[in-house]
Amino acid sequence: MIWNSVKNKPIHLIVSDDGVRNQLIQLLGKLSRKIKTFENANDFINEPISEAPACLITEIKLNDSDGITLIKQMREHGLSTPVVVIADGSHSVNTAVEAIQAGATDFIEQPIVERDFLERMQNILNTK
Amino acid sequence: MSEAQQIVSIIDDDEDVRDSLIELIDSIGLQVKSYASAINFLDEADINQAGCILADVRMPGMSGIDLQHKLNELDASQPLIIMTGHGDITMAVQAMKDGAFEFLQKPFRDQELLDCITKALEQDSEHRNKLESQHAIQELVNSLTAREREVIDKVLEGKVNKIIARELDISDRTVEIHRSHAMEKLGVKSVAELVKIMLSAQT
Repeated sequence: MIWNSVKNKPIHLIVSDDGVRNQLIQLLGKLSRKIKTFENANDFINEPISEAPACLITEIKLNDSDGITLIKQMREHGLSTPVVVIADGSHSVNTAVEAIQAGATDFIEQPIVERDFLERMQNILNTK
Repeated sequence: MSEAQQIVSIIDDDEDVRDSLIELIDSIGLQVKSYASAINFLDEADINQAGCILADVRMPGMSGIDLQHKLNELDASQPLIIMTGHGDITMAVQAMKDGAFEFLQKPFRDQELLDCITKALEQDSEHRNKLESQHAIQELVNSLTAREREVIDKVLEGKVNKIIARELDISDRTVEIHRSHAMEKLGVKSVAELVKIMLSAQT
């Protein structure tokens, strides 16, 4: 694997649910990327970011916010970082459409299927 | 700026659905045309027509999603609203990522659809106006002579007349004349305006 600067960029996770976070960390381990986790949207927003992430993964429902609001805030600030939204299965087509319109790069439903998930992540990381 | 007549194209294989959509859209005074399939639409309609397209996701021959691919391929910018009776998130995500304007799940309220169409038409007209003004600027830029263009390019590089004159091996006075002619043709009075107009011609 070639370790250039883009490949070294971390993946940021904003996930309030412990189970989902653990599963994502385990799956993303296979991509040999640095991973930084945040439990809430505010932890992420308040963190001084020294290094722009290659990609951000957020749960649709966070303790203190939600993934779609977070994307809107980021896009308003001109941040074009790819964002993947993880939904918990109780969400409708409308939510998925709204997420993409807000600027989500992808919308993935739980249960997360390893192969499909990694393929979609690779696509995002490679086009970046 | 000329406002082209916008048409809402309805594509659905169900005649009853087509008829009720025509009636609804016609009721707010919009021009409507309908097609029984995406293939019919591609054959008969002018895809560069101003307006938007309303298509069912599942249709024999070509689905609403395939139609979006085809429109992308043809570089046709009309917004496509895809209607679906099936709550399939994967399909919705794919359609949106492919550039569909909206993915509407049935049953939807009439007003919801009309709002969506209104927004799609607004986007289409904004896009067309932008293209038109870009085109107009491009024409102005094309009206420059080769020498004027050369001088302007050097002005944009931040060079002063004296340097430009030396580089092009012409007199300062000639540079000045080319420069003022070019700026007059482009309708700009300052270098700042010149930069702005040349940048918008590029994009």
